[in-house]
Amino acid sequence: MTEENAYENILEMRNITKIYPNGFMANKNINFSVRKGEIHALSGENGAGKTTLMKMLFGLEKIDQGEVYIKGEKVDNINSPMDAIKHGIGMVHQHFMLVDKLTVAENIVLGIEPRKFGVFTDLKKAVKMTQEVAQKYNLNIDPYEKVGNLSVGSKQKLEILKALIRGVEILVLDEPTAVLTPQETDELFKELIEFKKQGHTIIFISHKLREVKELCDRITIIRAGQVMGVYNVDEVSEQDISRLMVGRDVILKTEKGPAHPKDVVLEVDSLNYTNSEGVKILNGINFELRAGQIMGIAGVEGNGQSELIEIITGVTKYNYGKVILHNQEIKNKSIRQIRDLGMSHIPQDRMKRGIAANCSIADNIVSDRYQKKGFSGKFFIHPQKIAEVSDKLIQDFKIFCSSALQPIGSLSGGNIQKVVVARELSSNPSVIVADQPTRGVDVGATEFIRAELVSMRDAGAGVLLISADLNEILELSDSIIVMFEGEIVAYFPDSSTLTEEELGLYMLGLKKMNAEQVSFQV
Amino acid sequence: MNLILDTLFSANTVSATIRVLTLLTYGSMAAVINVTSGVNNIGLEGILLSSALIAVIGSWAAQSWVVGMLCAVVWGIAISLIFGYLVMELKTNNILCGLAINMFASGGTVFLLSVLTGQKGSSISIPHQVAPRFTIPLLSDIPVLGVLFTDYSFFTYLSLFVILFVYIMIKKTPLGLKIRAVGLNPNSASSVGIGVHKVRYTAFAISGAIAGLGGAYLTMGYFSSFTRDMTAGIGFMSIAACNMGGATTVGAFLSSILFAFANVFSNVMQSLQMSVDLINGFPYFITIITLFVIGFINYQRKKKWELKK
Amino acid sequence: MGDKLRKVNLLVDLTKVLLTIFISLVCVTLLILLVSKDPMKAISAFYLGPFTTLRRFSQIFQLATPIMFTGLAVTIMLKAGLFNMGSEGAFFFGGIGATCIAVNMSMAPGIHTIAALLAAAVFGGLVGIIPAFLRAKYDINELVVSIMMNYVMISISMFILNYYLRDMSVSARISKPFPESAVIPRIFGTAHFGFVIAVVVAIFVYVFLYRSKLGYEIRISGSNGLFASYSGIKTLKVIVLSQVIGCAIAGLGGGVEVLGSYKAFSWEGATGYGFDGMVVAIIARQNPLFAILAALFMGYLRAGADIMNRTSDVALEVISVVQAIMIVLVAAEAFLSKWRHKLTVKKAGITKEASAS
Repeated sequence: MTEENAYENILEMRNITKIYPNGFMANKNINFSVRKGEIHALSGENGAGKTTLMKMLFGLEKIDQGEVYIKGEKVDNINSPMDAIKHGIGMVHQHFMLVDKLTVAENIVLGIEPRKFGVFTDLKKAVKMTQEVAQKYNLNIDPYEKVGNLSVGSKQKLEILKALIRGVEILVLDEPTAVLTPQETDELFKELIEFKKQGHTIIFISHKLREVKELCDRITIIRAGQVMGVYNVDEVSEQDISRLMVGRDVILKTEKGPAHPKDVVLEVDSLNYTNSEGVKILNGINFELRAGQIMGIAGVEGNGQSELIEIITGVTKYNYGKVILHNQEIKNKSIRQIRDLGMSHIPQDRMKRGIAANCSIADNIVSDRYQKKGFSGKFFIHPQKIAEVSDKLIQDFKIFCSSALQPIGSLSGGNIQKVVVARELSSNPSVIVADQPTRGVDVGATEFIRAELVSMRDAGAGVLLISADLNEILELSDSIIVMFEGEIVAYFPDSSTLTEEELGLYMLGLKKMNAEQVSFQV
Repeated sequence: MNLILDTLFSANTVSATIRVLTLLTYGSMAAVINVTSGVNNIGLEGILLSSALIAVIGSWAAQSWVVGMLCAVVWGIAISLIFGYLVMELKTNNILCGLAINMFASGGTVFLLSVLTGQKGSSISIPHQVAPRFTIPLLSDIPVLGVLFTDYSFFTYLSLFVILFVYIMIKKTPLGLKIRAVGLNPNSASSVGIGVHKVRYTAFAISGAIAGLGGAYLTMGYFSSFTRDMTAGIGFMSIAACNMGGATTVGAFLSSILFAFANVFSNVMQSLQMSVDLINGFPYFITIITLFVIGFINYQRKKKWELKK
Repeated sequence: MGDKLRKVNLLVDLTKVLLTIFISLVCVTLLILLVSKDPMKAISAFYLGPFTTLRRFSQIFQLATPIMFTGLAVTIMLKAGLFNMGSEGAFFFGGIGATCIAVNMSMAPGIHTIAALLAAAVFGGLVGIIPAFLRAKYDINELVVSIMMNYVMISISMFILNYYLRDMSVSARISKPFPESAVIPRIFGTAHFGFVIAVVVAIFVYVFLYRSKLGYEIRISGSNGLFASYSGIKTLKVIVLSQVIGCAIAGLGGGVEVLGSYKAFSWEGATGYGFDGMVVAIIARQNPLFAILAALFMGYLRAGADIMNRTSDVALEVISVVQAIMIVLVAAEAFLSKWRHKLTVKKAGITKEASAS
């Protein structure tokens, strides 16, 4: 007990300020303290500065101003994760920090390799170490498996084990449940409570209020880089937290009238697909999308949704089955021909597939129409027309920038996504494939994008919505299909009464409709 | 035709192949380490060239080939570390940085040569010691295979140890595991406290030392003097061999054998009175063709899967 | 705030280029002091030599011409996202192409030159196809292929020279002399109208990249190939065309160089202009109009080095040291980045206050 009396907080960050090279002030005078043995939530909107704060703690970002105290002692030498680990701080990142081509055991011992004869790696010992730590914390994992073959849940376990084997006392988890199924989340929570009992301190970064309420002892709320308050979780309501996070009540409901579905615009018929490694990804996919309808595709990531989207948008070619867009099979059509038929596509990974970061906003806005009449002649583009259109879209979609000629890479994530959405929705599309349209986007932009999708539907477009966010799927969709292991396992023609729990059962493959139930033949 | 076959499989051809192979081995092993650590250094050509001259100077000044070799190794390490500094600390694009090294070496060696000898063409006026040649007793008496053990430079035998060293270092040691991890996913490595820069500096130093040995071999074994731009693309060919071998030790070595043979084959054709000009381009042509074949096979394999589904 | 940030970036970029030039010149000066017996003479020859006579001054333009072509070639190829060093081989092969027309045909003056230069561009363009195609279709590293291609192209060029173009009356391996009708006329001293062609090409490249459809496609594909194909751009076509156009410009440069500066084709090996083009493109920050200035600057350095080489005991290869330092420092993102950060923070702070008041 004497040890605990020596300091009140195991970790204290005082007056932390961080300014990024592009001038963005991510943290401003933040005070953050954590008591030993608690689970402390760090909550805020996307981009509020939670991850930045933790990255500074973990030595991944430089602290511009401020001090860090660990166990009551000032530390000012956390310049790398190595230093952080030395001080007993471990972090499980949102995007896993694993080497896919190495085995579980190799990943575990990376940096603390057991040696044989002084020079060689002792792989047997590595395996043994892995088994021991896995047993101690009751986490099941195969030391010999290549990490690339693990499920998301197992990868996360591995990440936690990596921290624990290094004797970490403070474990930072950055949005750990974002990629997990509800069941995996439950399992994770049990594990975390177990760690807490063993004396570990946990910092839980999340903006999922329900999870914070369920798991955490205290919460620090950050908005726009500043601390809005620190509370005991059981003394503050979800509504209060959300008000503090966004400064107003979150409008969870997207305003949306009833759908008026019309003709079929997109039809997918017995589609099969096997990838280049010979793994069967899609198996007999059938569905129809109608004009004036939002069709949600629910499913845990990696159940074939990405491949389905790539096939529908013409990126990947298919061999068995049919994809019919406006009565035309797209099999032998180029991406441009498919776009010309009225398809537009908001891709999942905007930096990789949605923009060319070095080029200007204007260049990015016209990427789907620069070759069209008005925008260019036979050889030359028409800069005035392009400027005109981009300025208008910048205004209409409230894109925050200094001019259309600014390189798009210098914008914030939310504004980049708005550029992508502006482009894809302004081409007068009849079919919109929106793949995680609001991922990593702040609440304001999310609301805006959702409202735009609904208004496109009302204007008569068919929208195919893929999202890992169940809330989004349920909010926006008129009908929902659920994908599990490359098959459609459920179809809800009217999803207005569907619950998250019900959907979860299908997503995890616990329930499955029969062929007749998922059939679109009425 | 018989003449071609006879020349092709003669003892001379075999030993000439092994001489070129020695050079390519040093180059491709250096490249393998760079690529494994995640940063390709196309300045390899320049490191080979400049350390070749440094070896001459060291050997000439001390009248000892060992000193020449050590100078080349230290030089190779130094340039490689500077490359590391530029790429990692100053965040210079690694390809531009490699080109700069090549440019620096190509002009710098001529400059240095002119300062030392007053000539720009070759180092003949500063005679230096070359590495000794060995014939392995007993093994060299084996009929047919004996040629593999007869009259090779010290560097040729050393290159075998270099292959073994690189293989074990990458596959079996903690350092190798770190280099692989850093090359495959630097974020992951740094998240467990591995100093990515430190590991890469180490890898570059080893790679630079090996390249330095390759340079030393150029002027103290393969040839016995320095001539301007004498590497003539051998560094790039080493990188091509490394690429072709999938950046593995064994693969790079096997590819090096192929390229070495292509080099010697062009010499054989020369003896058959073909146009010297075209023959000069032959090894490079073969390199392109093999890169193409590998790329084509990968492409077909991918396509085949796509058709199967 | 955006505009202020842009000003900060411009200021930092400009300072960076100037500082780089300064540092590399200091290095070369120190080097000369170190090795020369009469360093003052060498240094003044290097820095002031090009301005001492009109003829020497004209050399600046003469030497700037070939590297302006290769610099522009590299600029286009870099914009398409490829590190293609084929400009070296294309330049050489272009020279052979021009020589073929120049020495084997007879045409009216002027027309003859134009025909020869067209052949140069076509020969150069051919060199671009293979690395581009292999990269775009089979994902084979274009850098290694293009460098190997350079050696192959030079050996093919020498073969053509030897068997079809060679002047048998002399022992050296040079082509028959260029007829008067094919040579590019001089402007003054050794500067020839090739320099004007180069400037026109620079403007063409600027318009091409920023105003043409293909130029747009090249920039988008170069910045993000996956995105380009998602937008319906045929990246294979765009990449191949960009490299062919780039290499055609390099080839044209080779033609201009042989017809403007030589009496006959007399190169024996790689000219190095292709690699120098990379230096020009990088110093010009991949802007075709800045490439004119960058090439002139490099032309000045080369003219100075050349004079120093002839009048003192310092070899002109010292210039490659300058080039290496320049390329590394200009391309070094972290160089001056702290200063940039400080300025940015300052500007951000001011904006904060301004908006608060």
